[in-house]
This record gives sequence, C-alpha cells and structure tokens, in this order.
Amino acid sequence: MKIKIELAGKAKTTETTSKTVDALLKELGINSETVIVSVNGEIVPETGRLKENDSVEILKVVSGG
Amino acid sequence: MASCSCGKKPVYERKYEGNSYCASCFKAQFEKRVKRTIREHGLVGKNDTIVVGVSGGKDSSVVLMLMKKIFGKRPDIRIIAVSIDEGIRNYRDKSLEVTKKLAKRLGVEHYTAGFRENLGKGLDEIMKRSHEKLNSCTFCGVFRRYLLNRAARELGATKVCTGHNMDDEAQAVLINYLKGDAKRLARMGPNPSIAKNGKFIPRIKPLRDVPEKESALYAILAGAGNYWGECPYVSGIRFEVRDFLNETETRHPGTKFSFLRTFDSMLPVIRETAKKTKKEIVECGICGEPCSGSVCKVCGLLDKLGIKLERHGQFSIEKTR
Repeated sequence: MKIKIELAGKAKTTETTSKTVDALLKELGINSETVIVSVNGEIVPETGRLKENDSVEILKVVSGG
Repeated sequence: MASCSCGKKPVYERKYEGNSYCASCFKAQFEKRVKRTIREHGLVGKNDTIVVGVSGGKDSSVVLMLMKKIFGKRPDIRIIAVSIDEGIRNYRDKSLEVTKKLAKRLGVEHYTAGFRENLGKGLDEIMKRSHEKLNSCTFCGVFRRYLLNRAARELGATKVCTGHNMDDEAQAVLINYLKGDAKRLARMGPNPSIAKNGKFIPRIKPLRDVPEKESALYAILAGAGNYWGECPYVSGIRFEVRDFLNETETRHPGTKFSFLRTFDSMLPVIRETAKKTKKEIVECGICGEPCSGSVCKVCGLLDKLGIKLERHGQFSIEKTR
C-alpha cells in the first residue's frame, strides 16, 4: 500500500507492506524508543494500524546535547 | 490496538507494564510519577529556592513546567529559570528564544549566563581555535555545570534542578562503569547531592524515573513548545551507550528501569568503596572554586584550551526583561 512519510522535515510517498507503526519503524530501521509517531495528525502507539494513503509523521525525540 | 482503561484512544503503550494510555491519562500518570519521585527522595523542602536549568529542550522545559505546576502556589518556595548560553550559533540562540517565551508564559523569572561573558570564549570559538582533538561534550558539560552552580549561588538558591531523565541517568551510570569511575558513580543516585562544601548547591533530578520518550510525549501533549534541534557538536561514548540501551530496551522492555534500580540498591556499597580513595575538598589555586586537586576541572580544561580567565572571580548573569 501507499503511504506518505514525513521524517526529519522531509516528506515522501512510499510503498510499504507494514500494517502497523511498529512494523513500519522496523522496515525503516528506526528504533521505536527514539521516536514519536503521528498518523493523520494523531499521536499513536507502536501498535497503531496503518492503511492506504495514511500520512505518517515520525518525530525524533532522543536528546542530542 | 488496546484502549486506555478509561475507554479513550491510546497515544502510548508502556511496554514494560503492558498498559495503554490516552493523552489525558498519560499526562496525569506522568505528573503522578514525578511527584512521587520528589516525595520519595525528599527533593524539595520548606523555604527552598530552586534554580531550574533550562536549555529549551524537551526535558528541561517539562521539568520547569512541572516545578511551576507543583510548587507555584507555595509561598515559601521560589522557582527561578536559568539558561547557560554556550555560544553555539543557530542552535543555542534558537533554543534560548523558546526558553524565554516559556518562562514568560509560566510567569517564572529567567536569567542567562554565558560562556563568552564568564569564560572568555563561546563554544563556536573554542571549537574553531582548538588544535587538539577534543570531545566537546566533555568540557562543555563541565563548564555548563560550573556556570549553573555559580548562577544558583548568585541567586541564593538552595537547590539546582535539572531535566535529566531515566535514559540520561542509565547512560551516565553505564559510562562511569565502563570508565571505571567509582568516585563519580558514588556521587550519583536519586537523592539530592549532599553539599560537602558551601559553594556546591545540591542538585535534584525530578524526571529521573521517567524514560526519555515519555518526557518527549509529555512535552508535546502539555504544549511545552520546546526546541527540537540537535547540538552540532554532539560526540563521544554517550551516544554509543544510548543506542545500546535503546536497542536492549526494545528487545527487553524494562531494561533501563531495572538497570537503574539495581544501581540504586548497590549505591551504599559503591559509596563505601569510594570513601577509601576520597580526597579532601580544597579551593582551586586559580579561581577559588571547591575541588579535590590543586586546580579545579574548569581551570584545568581552560588551560588545556589555551584560555586565560580574564574575569577572575567575577560572574556575569543577565536577567530576561
């Protein structure tokens, strides 16, 4: 399915087979401990489900000084 | 996706507990946990003047908001926000603006103490001029702690409060283990650091029992409006340790929590061991600040960087109008 991903200020539309936020983060090689994810503007836990045309925003939250 | 116990849509699943929380239950539970940390370890007492070190990042913004929320109505307790300006262009200047706005919104006095004004040079200049391969985080951390302590003393504070969270603490414990630094390990722990010298203001960490991700989520849900930028100079072992702990936590939820609890339970033994090699606290031969050698860490590092303290003994701090 096709979803829109926004990560570190960059947005892209991509094909994925991931059906949950957790699976998507694994697919992208992102540790779930380090980010907060919003789907269609709403913050969701990693168990949150994804569907066609969802807009996913991934915010990096680990400190860097 | 499991619902919150109140029936609303969840925003967070605490894996090591197996519970899901909606936004309002998460915020309430987070605040309860911070209050418990403060109460259990006696972090705040009657007539305390608390200087909160605020960088504008999520953790320090959250701790400032909560200290104001919890103690703002107590007439005997004074909360003051202090920022340290390291002089990092396009990073600290941006976060300082955010901090000033937050302090104003909360009705908290805000002060800034700068590297340049107090140490002669800002971090950008230090990094540009340095011929040595230096880990910026090491000396930046030493200078920041020194300036925050000096600022707290100038403002008559009885406590210095920082936004260190569970991740920061677990990383620091592991780094000190890896470096074999028992003395530094002995100074850690949940209780306020005990001032052995009148010039050291005891430090408190009310967010010590909350993971970094939860602090970030609270910042978003509570509208902290904090700065999310990353320092351009970050480097060192801390980031390898951070990644290791996060990877372990993902595979084994609860790792950071149990690691810190184990450390806390071993602390009396570590402190007993460290006592045997403890040095007497004396005054630095250059600046007069308390230290365990003839020259304090700040003056030692400044010397290594080729910086001569031009404002010996003086301290510059600016109040935000």
